[in-house]
Amino acid sequence: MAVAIRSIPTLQGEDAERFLKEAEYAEKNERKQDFGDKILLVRNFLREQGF
Amino acid sequence: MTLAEFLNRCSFARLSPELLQSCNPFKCGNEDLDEFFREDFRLYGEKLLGKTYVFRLRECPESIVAAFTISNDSIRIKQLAPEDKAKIEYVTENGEKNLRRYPGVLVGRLGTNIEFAKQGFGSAVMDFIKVDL
Repeated sequence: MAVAIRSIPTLQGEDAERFLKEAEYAEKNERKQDFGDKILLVRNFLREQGF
Repeated sequence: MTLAEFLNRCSFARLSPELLQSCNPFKCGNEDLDEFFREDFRLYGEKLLGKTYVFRLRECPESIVAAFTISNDSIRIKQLAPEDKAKIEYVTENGEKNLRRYPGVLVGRLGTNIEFAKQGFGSAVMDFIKVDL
């Protein structure tokens, strides 16, 4: 028997507007985040967690 | 909360029915999402549509702080804004033929336990996903 799979919830209304506004701000931000130093942190964490 | 602080406070695991049973009920304030992390994640995983992971408090492993589901995805290059399209097309230029889609990761579901809301946990999870994937 086929089982229906729910569709992915989509942001709407004020939440969607806020998300878009912040995404546009982040896109234009010249001082974007550099994740270089965080990569090692996460890799060590995942190793510790058995991944 | 910084990513380092977050990772110091939380452990990380793939969500399974056994793990779920050992934890307190997860509530993020959205009944649809709560139901997904309570039941639907199983089918989603079985159908290879996405994998669901959770962060739990190290000091209290029965507390799920946040849960998220990720899937492989891609962006249709034609639908991008002209300036983004030019940037991506340059990257995906492949000799004779340009790629139509650019690979990506879909964060299909993301929820933070309401007990931990407004403390920066959700942002830390997003940082983790961006760095890890």
